[in-house]
Amino acid sequence: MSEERSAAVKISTKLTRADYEEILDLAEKGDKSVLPRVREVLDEFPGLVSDVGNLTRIAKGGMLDMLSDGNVMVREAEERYLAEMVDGIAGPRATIIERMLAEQIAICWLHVRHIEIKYAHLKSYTLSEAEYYQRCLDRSQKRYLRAIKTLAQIRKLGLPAMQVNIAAKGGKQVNVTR
Amino acid sequence: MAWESRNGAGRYYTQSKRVGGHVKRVYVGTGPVAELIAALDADTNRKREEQRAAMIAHKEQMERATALVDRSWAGVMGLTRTVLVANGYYRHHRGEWRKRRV
Repeated sequence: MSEERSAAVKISTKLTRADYEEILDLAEKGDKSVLPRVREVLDEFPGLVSDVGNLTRIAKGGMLDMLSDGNVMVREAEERYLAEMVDGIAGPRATIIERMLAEQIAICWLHVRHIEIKYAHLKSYTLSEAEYYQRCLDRSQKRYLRAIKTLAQIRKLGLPAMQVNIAAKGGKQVNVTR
Repeated sequence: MAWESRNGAGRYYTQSKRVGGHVKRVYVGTGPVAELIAALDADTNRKREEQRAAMIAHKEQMERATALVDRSWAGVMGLTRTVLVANGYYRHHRGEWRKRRV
């Protein structure tokens, strides 16, 4: 996927990835004019966690559907294996971000496997088709390694626990520190 | 690949071949042998077409999978960056994350 397409991806109901990048770039540089938009991002944060969680679930479900190719038993087995994998990577005291990165690692791993299987099942292919598959494989492996590296960096930095506000029934708000 | 009729007489089987950058119609023959060659050609074309369709389906599924992963990747990375920046971290020369000194 090109950078342009990646930037256009919506990561919340209001903002695209490009919006986020722009706001965070300006915030890092100390530009105070961006403060209202920074507040908007922080106000939206609990919703964003939920939106990203949904994106992750959709990606995981979609990848499992493609890998299992309609076989319910295979899908169930793969899903269980994936859940164990995520638990193993995240560990017992993972923060929300660590847990999400662990899930992302698992999704990237599924993606690499999906391409490898597709490639292996081709009966015959031309040189340009082989190059296409190789490029896809290279990109997915790079992303998989980047996800692992990001989780390692986050753990090394030891970010403080994050408070997430979850709206409960009856309009009450539950504050969860993870 | 096609059957041609010249001056209203007979059916001749011909093949199109690329010679020196130009497409040339090559005469193959007539009668049962030409029929057999035509059947073999048709079979080869059918297999090639099936393979092409399978490859398109493969690529479409690959694109769908990549789009799914792209979206969740963008979300998780955006979230991670938001948390890091909000906690006072910055990327040193677009590389590792460092804590900004206050």
